[in-house]
Amino acid sequence: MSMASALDAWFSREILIYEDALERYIARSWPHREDIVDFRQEVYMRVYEAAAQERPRAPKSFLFATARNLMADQIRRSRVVSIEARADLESLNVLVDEMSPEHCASAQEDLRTIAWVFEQLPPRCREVVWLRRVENLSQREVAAQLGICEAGVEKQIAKAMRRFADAFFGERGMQLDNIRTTGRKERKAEFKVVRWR
Amino acid sequence: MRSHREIEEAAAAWLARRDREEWSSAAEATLRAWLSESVAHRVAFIRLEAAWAESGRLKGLPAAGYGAELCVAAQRANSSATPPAQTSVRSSRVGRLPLIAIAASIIIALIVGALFVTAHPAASYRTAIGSIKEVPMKDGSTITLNTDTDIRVAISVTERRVDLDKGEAFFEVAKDLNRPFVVHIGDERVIAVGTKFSVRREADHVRVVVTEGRVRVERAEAHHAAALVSKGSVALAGAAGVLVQDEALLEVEERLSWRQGFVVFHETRLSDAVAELNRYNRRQIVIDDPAVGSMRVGGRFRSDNAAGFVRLLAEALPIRVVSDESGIVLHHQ
Repeated sequence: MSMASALDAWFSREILIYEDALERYIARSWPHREDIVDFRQEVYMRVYEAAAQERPRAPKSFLFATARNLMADQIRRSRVVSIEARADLESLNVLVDEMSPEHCASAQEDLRTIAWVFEQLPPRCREVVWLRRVENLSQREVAAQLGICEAGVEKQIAKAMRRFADAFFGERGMQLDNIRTTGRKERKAEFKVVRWR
Repeated sequence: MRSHREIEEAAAAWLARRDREEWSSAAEATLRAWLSESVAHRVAFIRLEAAWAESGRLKGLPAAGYGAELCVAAQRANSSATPPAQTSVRSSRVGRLPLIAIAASIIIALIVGALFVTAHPAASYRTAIGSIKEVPMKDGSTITLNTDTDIRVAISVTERRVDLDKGEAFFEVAKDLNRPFVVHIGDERVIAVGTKFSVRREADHVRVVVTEGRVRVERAEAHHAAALVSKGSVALAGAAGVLVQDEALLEVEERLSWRQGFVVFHETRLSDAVAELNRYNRRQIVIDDPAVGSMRVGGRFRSDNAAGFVRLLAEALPIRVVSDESGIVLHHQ
């Protein structure tokens, strides 16, 4: 494995798994929601650059410390920052442990997440992913089967990748299953009542 | 600097292009050049690549027919122009019983042995909206505080006392026959010895969920009436009495999935689901139309991701979402 790909593997294994927690961490103190993703990427860049020099021993702490420092910089620099953000900065130090009830998703849960993301894809995109990833057809074969051009397949795949990343790292485990109309088995009401007197 | 969105688009385009058969070494070189241009490019690329690799595990989904099933199900979700049919309200649901709908301060005691001692100086713990905190006790017990919760704890040689002033907490009680574990809700006293259970304080009742062992729910001044609640049961105590319902352990655990940061719904009225989610978020979701409130949702959601929740709703239900600084409003489409 080359140096770069070892680092890349380390990055996705040790850092990306905290994406959800990281976003929440940033959202707590950063009033501008629309910046969160850019902010997150900025944090990733700094962590990646530092790790290229030397891998941090405690990746999670390092990640959150980096986020904290970056946020502190930004807040100090900003002229129009809310007082709230300043106050929250104080509490950032103690938040890290609280932030992520460690997500040790089982393989089974991961699979459910993946299935869920797949369900959320728009229909055409879903067909493309299924044929490419599960049926193992090439992009050209997928195009032929669906009667669309290869560029179209490529576009759908690019779209699916982004959706997968957001859902897999960002909203792990969320799933909506309101499509299930049967629900759980109806049970007979079995309960007892104890009156106080 | 270009925004992440643009970089991500470019990274996805690269990955999709590489996914094609005719990937030349010239293309590889161009990609490498693009990657080394900026760390921003590289991290965006790694992130998408890792997620895409995971998607390959779709193959592992049980049964070959699953894909088709998924497609059908998802299409149904996407095209559901009407709210799901109103299924009958399950009257067996403990929470719906009129017995419970009684205002007044609630009086409960969980008792396994009885020993009341005057109050000790207490340590307080509290959680803000949206946070969860685990507090280890010196006796070996652990208390997990859910969102927006206040407790006071006093541990002495004769008694372990917790006052649940607000919110919800899960108790893993270390066994100690000589020192009952007392949870007070309101003015009342609550006692256990060595079990696992949660207590949630609501406006007009208290909900007790037991996952291990057994507790006794009792009105403090009325020792003659008590309800034993064992593992796998849910008790709702109101001014008139206690309702105890047995549930599958799995369902009981689901009620406690807040400890992992999730809420779980099963054909829950959207109005109830939103009320539950709002407990965890400062940014409140408001339902603008009763027709929206009566739609039903099921699923497992991150309790602190209201935005993600409504996005999923909007994808599956005829709902229009309007968000601004003050909150998120759900309109009928």
